Amino acid sequence: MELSIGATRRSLQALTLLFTHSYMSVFATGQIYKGPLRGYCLPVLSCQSCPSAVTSCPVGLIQHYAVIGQFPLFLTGLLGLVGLLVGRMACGWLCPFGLFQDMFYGIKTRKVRLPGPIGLLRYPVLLVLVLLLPYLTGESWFSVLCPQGTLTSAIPWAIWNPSDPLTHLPLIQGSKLTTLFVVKLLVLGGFLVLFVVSKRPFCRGFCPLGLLLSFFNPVSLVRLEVSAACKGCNQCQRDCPVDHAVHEAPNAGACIRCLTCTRCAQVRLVARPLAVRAQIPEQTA
Amino acid sequence: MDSVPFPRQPALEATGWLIVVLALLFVLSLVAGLALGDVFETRHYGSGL
Repeated sequence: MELSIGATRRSLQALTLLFTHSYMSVFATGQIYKGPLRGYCLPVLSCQSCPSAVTSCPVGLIQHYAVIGQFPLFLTGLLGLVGLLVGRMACGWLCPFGLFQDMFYGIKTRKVRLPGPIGLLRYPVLLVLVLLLPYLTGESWFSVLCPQGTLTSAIPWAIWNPSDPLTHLPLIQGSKLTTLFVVKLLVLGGFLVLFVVSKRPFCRGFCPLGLLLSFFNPVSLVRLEVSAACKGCNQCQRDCPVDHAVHEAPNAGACIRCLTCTRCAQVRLVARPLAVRAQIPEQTA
Repeated sequence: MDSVPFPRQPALEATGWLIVVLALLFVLSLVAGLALGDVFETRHYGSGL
């Protein structure tokens, strides 16, 4: 049986979710995972504050290093190498939050097309919420407002509210459910509505990790090629989970390399180093 | 059959070399991070509760 690209992607995204949130002992002990994997991450948005998280979130790591004023060596190497090899492919094939948005978009209702410049919002998100404010205030502001964090961390902790292993008191007491928690819920609610009516709004307009990886799309080893026979029918854009016009700019940063567009015979995935690409003529057919 | 040399593209070649250097730096960064115990101490519970 041959799996379609879509089914394979969804399976990998689900597996990533299972792996990154696989510490079930927390529900017996109330103690979160503190083993060696905690210091590392996959190149996907995956909340480290979730009760069952075993890995860290790359964006959480960046903020952590901004807070302590150090350079994230491992993370820089990981993201750089992944980016140079496959560009944003992890966004399309591994990120569980992408899967979540795709599922919500599957709900039948009136859809809204987001304007292209929404991608520019990711710059202030990265510079202000991920780098500047954490550095200045010591608080991870992106994580505080992140809808995925609210969904997989804040809400589960608030509902579960286990006893603190050290003090034996409830972890979250009434007064700790602050205005900020309400703000988080409002942000999440707003995003959930957006997820239903538009294609991956978080990836396109807010994800700082997607922005960082997007810089590598034009130079990565793996890339998309559009044949000169393409008639510009725009089917690739209609099928694209991020509404990207692949035939116009196959290796633009907006593309999440999900390969849905390769269902069209005029689009294909190739793997060539840039140095080799310099030696071959443009494809003409 | 005679081979026809492709025209050189210096800008693209320079970008290629830049990418090679970048890749080496990323490898170094990754290895240094692992070797130096570039370990993250998470906050244990969701922020802002």
